[in-house]
Amino acid sequence: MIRWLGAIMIVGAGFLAGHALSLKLKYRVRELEAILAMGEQMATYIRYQGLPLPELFEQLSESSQLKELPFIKNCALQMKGGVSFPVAYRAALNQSKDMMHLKGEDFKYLAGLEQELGSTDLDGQLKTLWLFQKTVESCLTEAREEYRSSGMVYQRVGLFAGMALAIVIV
Amino acid sequence: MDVDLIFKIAAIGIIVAVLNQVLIRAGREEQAMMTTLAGLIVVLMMIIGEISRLFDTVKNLFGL
Repeated sequence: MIRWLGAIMIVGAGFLAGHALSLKLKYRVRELEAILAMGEQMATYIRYQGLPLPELFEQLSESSQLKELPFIKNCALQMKGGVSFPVAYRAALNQSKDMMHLKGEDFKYLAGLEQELGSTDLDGQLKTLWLFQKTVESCLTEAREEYRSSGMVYQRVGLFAGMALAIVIV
Repeated sequence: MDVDLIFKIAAIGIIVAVLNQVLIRAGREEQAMMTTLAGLIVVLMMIIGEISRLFDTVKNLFGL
């Protein structure tokens, strides 16, 4: 009885390990979708309301679509405290790296906004945001493809590896 | 020799075959090969004791 229980737990552990790896890919897709929505909302606020950056980030931090992006609220709080946008944005991104599931190149594109936002005219900022959105769209396409192909593989490999381990050990 | 050993080896063989196919279809041929090798090593480790006993039995039988 105990042996069977042990075997089931080993198989379950293998499956959960594979599932955890698959979830990382899923969360990357969700976060990239949120970043795309962030770019669209930024462009809308800048085009139609001309909001300064502290208020822009304040508005973004209240959006339910962007709750997967902890650095927005962090950046808004720092700017409210008087910190300049580039410093606040960079610090917020660095603090959020461990909480998010993005790859290094995704953070590189996000960090690119630090120099561009608030430093050019309206047209320049809108063009920057348009380019940013195109870049994020290609990352999102790649992330979706990776989740579609690798997500299921990780779950199955985890399950079968757990079964093999259970057979060998038990 | 315990008959369970044969069933264990058969089960590991089936699991390795299925994993091999899953990984090949996902385009990961190298990892499929590594899985096959790992399965082979696990099975060899399981039967190495039995092989050793076989050699000892042969040696005792022929007085070598």
